[in-house]
Amino acid sequence: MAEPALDLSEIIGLYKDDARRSVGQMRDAVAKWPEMAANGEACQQLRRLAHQLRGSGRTYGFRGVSRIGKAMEQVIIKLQAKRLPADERLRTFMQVQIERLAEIFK
Amino acid sequence: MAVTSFRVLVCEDDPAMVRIFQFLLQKQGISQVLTTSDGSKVVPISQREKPHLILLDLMMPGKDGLSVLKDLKNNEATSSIPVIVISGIESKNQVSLAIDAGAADYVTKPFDSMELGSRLQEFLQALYNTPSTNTGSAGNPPGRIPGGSL
Repeated sequence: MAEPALDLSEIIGLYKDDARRSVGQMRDAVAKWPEMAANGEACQQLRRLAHQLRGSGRTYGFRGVSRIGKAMEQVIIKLQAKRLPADERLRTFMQVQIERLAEIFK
Repeated sequence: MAVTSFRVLVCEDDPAMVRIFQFLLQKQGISQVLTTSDGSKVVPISQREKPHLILLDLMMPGKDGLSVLKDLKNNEATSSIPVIVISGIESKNQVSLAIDAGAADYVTKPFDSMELGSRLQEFLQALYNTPSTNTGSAGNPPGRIPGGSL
């Protein structure tokens, strides 16, 4: 007989609140694109938030969040290593991922 | 010593992860869950509070987790406290570094919450040779978990 799934309902609402705040901070970071492009505070902030959502998403049952967080983190690592240009295409990619996250947590 | 008497220190800077660790530990009957988001505070808190188990994130402000782990293992007052590293860093090299530095185990984030909850309980019971119900008997000194891996 399969074990019952762990009921996270007591804390899932708080997680969604945290995640919505993170999405807002991600939008703010991308809005500071010159800082992103120069690997400034905004870039480090976005990487930290993406890393955190990658770690927490599946843990809370949101597999898609972990996938998006991982994709964003990997792209930011490449940006920081100057293996990707901080161009309009990259900015659009980030914005699309952030809005996908926003949709999940709306 | 009963599992309910265990004291666990959670070292993690992501509030969402802190919350799920607290939730999972409390589901195992452990109510004494200490937390810190500052790597530089892990050793002082551990010296003072003597937790039975430390859950340690590798990427924390203040001091990185690997340095914290080495400090814990080089400190006579904290060297015997088992440390489970929980990290988003998946590289085999990082796992080896953590295990070589004295980690009892290494768990990669994201993880399955239910599995981690069960494993934490098994870990604590095996480590301290105690059943999950309150028997009042004294536990064995801390050490490496006999076999098994999270």
